[in-house]
Amino acid sequence: MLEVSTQNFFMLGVAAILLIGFLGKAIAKKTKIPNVVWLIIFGLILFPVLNFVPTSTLIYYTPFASSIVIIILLFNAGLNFNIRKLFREVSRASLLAVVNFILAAIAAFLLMYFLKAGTLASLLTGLAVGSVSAVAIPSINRPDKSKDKSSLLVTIESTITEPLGIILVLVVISAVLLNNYNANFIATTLASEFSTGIVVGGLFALAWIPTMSYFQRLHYEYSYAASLALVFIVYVLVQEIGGSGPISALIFGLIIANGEDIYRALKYRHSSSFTLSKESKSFNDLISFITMSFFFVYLGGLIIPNDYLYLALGVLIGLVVLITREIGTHIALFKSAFSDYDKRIISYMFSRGSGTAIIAVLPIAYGILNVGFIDIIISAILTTIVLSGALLTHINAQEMI
Amino acid sequence: MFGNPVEIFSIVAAIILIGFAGDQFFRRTGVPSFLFLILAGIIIGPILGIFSPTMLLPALGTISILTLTMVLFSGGIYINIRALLRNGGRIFTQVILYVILSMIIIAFFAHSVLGWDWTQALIFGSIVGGETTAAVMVPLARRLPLVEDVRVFLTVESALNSILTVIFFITFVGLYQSGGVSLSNAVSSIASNLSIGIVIGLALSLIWIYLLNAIKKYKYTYVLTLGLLFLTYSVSSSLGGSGLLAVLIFGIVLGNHGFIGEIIHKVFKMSTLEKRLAEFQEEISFLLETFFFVFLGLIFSIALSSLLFGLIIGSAIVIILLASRAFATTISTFRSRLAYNKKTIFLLCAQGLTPATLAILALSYNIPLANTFVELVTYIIIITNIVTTVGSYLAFNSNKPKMANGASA
Repeated sequence: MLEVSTQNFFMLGVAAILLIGFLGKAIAKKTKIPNVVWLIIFGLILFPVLNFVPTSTLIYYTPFASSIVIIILLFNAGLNFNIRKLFREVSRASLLAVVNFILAAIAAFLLMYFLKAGTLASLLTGLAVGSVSAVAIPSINRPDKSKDKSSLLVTIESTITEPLGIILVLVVISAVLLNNYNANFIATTLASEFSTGIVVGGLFALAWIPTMSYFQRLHYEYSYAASLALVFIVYVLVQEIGGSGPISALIFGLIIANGEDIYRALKYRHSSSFTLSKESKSFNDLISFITMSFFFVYLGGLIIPNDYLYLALGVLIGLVVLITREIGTHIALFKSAFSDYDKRIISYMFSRGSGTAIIAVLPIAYGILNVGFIDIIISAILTTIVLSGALLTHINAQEMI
Repeated sequence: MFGNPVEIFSIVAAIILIGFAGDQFFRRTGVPSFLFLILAGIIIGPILGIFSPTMLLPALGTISILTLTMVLFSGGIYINIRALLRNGGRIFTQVILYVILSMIIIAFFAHSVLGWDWTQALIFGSIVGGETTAAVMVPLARRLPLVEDVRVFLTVESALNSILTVIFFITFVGLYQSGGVSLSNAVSSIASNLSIGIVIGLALSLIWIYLLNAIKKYKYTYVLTLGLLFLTYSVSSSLGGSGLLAVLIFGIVLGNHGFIGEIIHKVFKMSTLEKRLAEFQEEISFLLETFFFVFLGLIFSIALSSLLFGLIIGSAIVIILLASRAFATTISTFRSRLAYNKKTIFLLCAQGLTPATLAILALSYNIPLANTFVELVTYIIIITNIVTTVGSYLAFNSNKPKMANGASA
């Protein structure tokens, strides 16, 4: 049994996270600075400054916290992955995603490597800052039609790069943990982990879609809650049989979200509505909001504020990412229907968010890098958000004139 | 070494001639050509002593894999995903029940009656458990007066049960070779093997159909397709996956390219290539099948003790197979239109290429008792083909009047 004081402490913690999440949103709306920034600052004040909970305790719970956030984030990434839209926009968005991811990752890797950060830390930094996030897009601008097109492209780009970054980092971590750098060994291990995750996650989702539909026909509610429960079960099962749990969560979400299209394409005779209801989607948003609020506050708590060198390094990486973004966007959108103005908007939408934040925690959760890595990455995230916001505001102002 | 060229050429010539004659025999009499081929092998091998099988043994492993690759690929091409979905649940039930039930009972029989080690018993169970051969079922289903659903049922069942038996065989051989592992490791190994096969098979197949669609008008595209087929097998196998499953998926994707195109909003027009490939494939499969069944005849033992052992144990195993099939068919056809043809489905149980190939593969893997496996498999193939011949005769006579009257089940 928990002691009364511990229970109260726990209750207060939950209340604080919910309130902070709400406050973060409210302040973000007022200031136009994304709530991610406020949540990290709240975490910084609550933990390292006020020492509400010691940093060592937070680090102790990192593997658990990161696993839960990964499941929720990748499951949501899958749910937001519209296969049809992806095929329609696939060429440009994929190109944009791949080119920008590679350029940012290489540039950050080289910067860190030449600053003698070591190969592993450099590689993980590169992969961490490679993925763009859609988290900061809506709160910066109320997009008009042209910006809507740009936002859509960057949202698809983020849908591709965030899971990609997490997965590649998990690959590197697996290789480090296996302590075997033989290319063939890594290839077979990864093929096994990924394939098992894809197949088991996919099969469970395909079986779950008609089940969910059946419950919906009987007007049973909370199908989303059941889906969320199932994704945790699939995650554990896949991990137990040696597969990649995160991949299974991603695929499970992706197939559920596109279930109607998939079964319609198969001309399955029992096909009916398999979609998540509006209520389910709202509940999903709420769960994501709580999880991500908790996670960013938690992340703020892991910062060591007097590590000025690491923080400066993060700012430098943020600037490098901006430069590579400019180059990458022009390469990827060369001879496209996008105007120069659109291209500028797209290249300024380069803020890093939840995907990068999770990657910041993973090496610490697996004990292969020290906490300083989080400082660098959070500093880079904040730099990109501030720079992106400033540049988009500037371009907005220019257009108004 | 393979012996001198003259000897090799005469064996190859004899096998091709026998194969051709066997095919004509099947077309005229309706009796599966396997019986003819095995009999011809017994005559030219153990009885007359014209040919010895020893010179073929070194190449057997590779030829077995090649044969399975071809069989699964062509099986995949003929699987219609939509037809599969229509009766898919019942076919899957039939395949899973028949294969797993018969495999377990046969393994139990081999362990308790013949005193074999559990791993060997399971390997043997996976070789003979629940297979019905596409080489007999597909042409037989076309020739017999059966309704479309039963045809699809028998055809798809024969493609799927072969795959399942191959998967079990590979798994049990893997367990044997690794010296036996824990249950969790076995599950993990099976999941990994199958998953890699599926993912690599799907990913490469999608790339291949884009490529083949782009160069479909070039000469020898069908030869390139075979190259891609072997590449798919190699990539999947070298990454630790099931190459055979990857090959099957390549076949399914290629055979359903129109359907795949609908899903990914791309028009693939490869019917000509598919037709040429099917013709080429049929000839290669004909040669390989002929080779295997004549080979079974060549290594058949005509000693009295072997004959008695083979007949008694082979018959006992066929009884187990029939009992399992009766149970599986009753369950899978329950309350459906297929139930009218339950007896026909039950009796059409001919085994063929997959058990023959797997038994010979076991021989090349140096699995203990593999010689006995081959011997028993020969008897089981012979007996199940006799049952099928009787079954097809009964089906022909019982269904013909109904079909003639326009009745459909």
